[in-house]
Amino acid sequence: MEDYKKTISELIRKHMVVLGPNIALAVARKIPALKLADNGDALEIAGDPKAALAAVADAYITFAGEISVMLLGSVTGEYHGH
Amino acid sequence: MCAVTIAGAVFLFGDSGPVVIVGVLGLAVLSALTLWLLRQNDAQIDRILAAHKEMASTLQSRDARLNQKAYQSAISKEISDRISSSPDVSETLEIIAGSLGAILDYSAVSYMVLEKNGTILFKCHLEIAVNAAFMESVKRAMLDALKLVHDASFKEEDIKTAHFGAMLDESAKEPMRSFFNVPMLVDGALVGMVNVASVKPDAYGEADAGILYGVVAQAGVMTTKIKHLIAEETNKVNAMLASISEGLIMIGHEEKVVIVNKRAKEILDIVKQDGEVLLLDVIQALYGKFDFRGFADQVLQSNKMEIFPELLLQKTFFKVIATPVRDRTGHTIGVVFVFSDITKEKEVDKMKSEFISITSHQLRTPLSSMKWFLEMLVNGDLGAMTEKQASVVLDIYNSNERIIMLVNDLLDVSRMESGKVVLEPTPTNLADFIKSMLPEVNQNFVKRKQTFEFVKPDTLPRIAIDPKLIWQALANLLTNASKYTPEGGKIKLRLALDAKNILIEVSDNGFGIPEFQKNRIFEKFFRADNTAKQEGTGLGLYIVKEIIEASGGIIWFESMEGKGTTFSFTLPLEGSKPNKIV
Repeated sequence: MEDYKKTISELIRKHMVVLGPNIALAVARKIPALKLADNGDALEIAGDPKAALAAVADAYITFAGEISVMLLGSVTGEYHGH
Repeated sequence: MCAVTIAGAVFLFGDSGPVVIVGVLGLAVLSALTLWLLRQNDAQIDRILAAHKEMASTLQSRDARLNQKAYQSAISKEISDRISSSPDVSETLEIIAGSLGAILDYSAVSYMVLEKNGTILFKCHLEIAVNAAFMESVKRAMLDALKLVHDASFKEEDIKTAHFGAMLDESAKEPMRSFFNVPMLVDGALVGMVNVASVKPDAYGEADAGILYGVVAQAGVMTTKIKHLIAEETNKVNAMLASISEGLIMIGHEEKVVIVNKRAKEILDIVKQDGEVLLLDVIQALYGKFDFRGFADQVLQSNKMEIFPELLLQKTFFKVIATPVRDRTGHTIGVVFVFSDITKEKEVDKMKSEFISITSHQLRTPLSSMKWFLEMLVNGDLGAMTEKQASVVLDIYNSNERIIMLVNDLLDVSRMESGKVVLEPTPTNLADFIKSMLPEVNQNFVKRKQTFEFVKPDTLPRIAIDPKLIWQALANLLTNASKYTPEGGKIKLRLALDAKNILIEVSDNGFGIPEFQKNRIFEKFFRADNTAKQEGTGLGLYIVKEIIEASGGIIWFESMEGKGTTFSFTLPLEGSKPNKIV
């Protein structure tokens, strides 16, 4: 669970830098299973954390497209094996 | 109407409801009923108002969606129009940034472009006056995003900054309180970014940014497609250019070498397999042999094809043809040079000239002997002949004359090409000289019952020309005029004077030159299709042109098939250059 929280937090923080904090947080906050801090940290995940990560990734890719795929690649690369 | 009594109250009912109420209890009931009815009405009004509000909101959001769609299509069209021939990220982002005012409120809109040379272009348009710290925050926010995606840092000196719109104002204290970035990707790589920033907190929501994301993503896809198309076309052209045997160089805007094929590099001995060939490389390779830049300027000025007939490079002869390159609108955008190897052609030509020279010399002596003996026979010096014999001998004599004429022409060409004819200018009164020579050709006009007119100014200055050669040229034109004009036609010779030249014109109302053959008229051995019945070698006009040009003049013609032809040439008043070898 903690690994997923870290991965989701990292993904959100990277999007906050690239897209801007307001937009990046607004997109992630649409995931009901997630409770987020203003700095992008994933505080709580309700239910399946894997599904929550997939939902965040989907939301970003739907919104920003290719750039989010790049960011997702860099984050999943960093947390490869978890 | 009827009356009902309930708890001491009397209700009188008419057709449209109660109309009379009597008693205290009745009044109380009536009040309660009235209140209930009013509440019912209020609720109904509230429901109607809510419905109206919902409808207005639906219409408003529909309008907003329509506006966004209209904006997206307008901006996509503008981008497509502007970058269709050359995908330029900077121009695309400039268009997008410049259009945002129509859909968003902002304090500043900026964009960054990652340029090929590793530098970053940062342009910021200030909508309101802000301080330098605000602009720096925008720049920082964008650089942080670029660094994160590229996993690299950028040096401050690599960033070219420019700002437009409102002035930077240090008295403006508002910081950047909200922003969003929209990265632009082309072919899967980050190439630039748009930033929208405001002094207001939480100024932008997902919907605001979403519109811009859509536009930038579409621009990225469009740019990628155009880039691929251009790359594909470039590959095709490069493959084609690499396979041709001619050297090809094209220079474009700002004297940039746009195209240089493999053969051109070999010809110019430019060893730069992967590096960019510069104009300087070409100029240096041709230094002292061919003024490449000067020739390009000449083509740009004349806006027509120019030919440099012979260029010797590394023991190989080339003909250089330079042609202006025009865009769709007809505007000249560059010059293309084609280097064609003419070494073999020259060798063949030389062999041909030598063969003609030797053969002609060998033929001349026996032909001259034949001429003398035939003249003796024709004149009856060797005794009388029957009429039939005399007629046959005359035919032989005329045929021999034609062969002598051909051999003389061939010898002239041969001498000209080998540089054995020397031009010897002497001061000459051209009008008097021509007048004295005219009887030589006049018999042609008499024989063909043609009218001949000689028009000249009252006075002409004496000019230095080689009279023998000039008469050879003029006699050729006059003979041609007579030969290619039907009997009874008109031939006119006109001399005129301008500031720098004497102009000589020979005009006729003869057969004319077919339009499609006009460009070949001065070629060796060329004869127009409509002159096949007339005798001729096809060498006369070639010789005429060589003589006139060697004398410092120029020759041209105007002709219409069936109407006639005018050949014109000039001779410079300053005279022909002495000792010039034809």
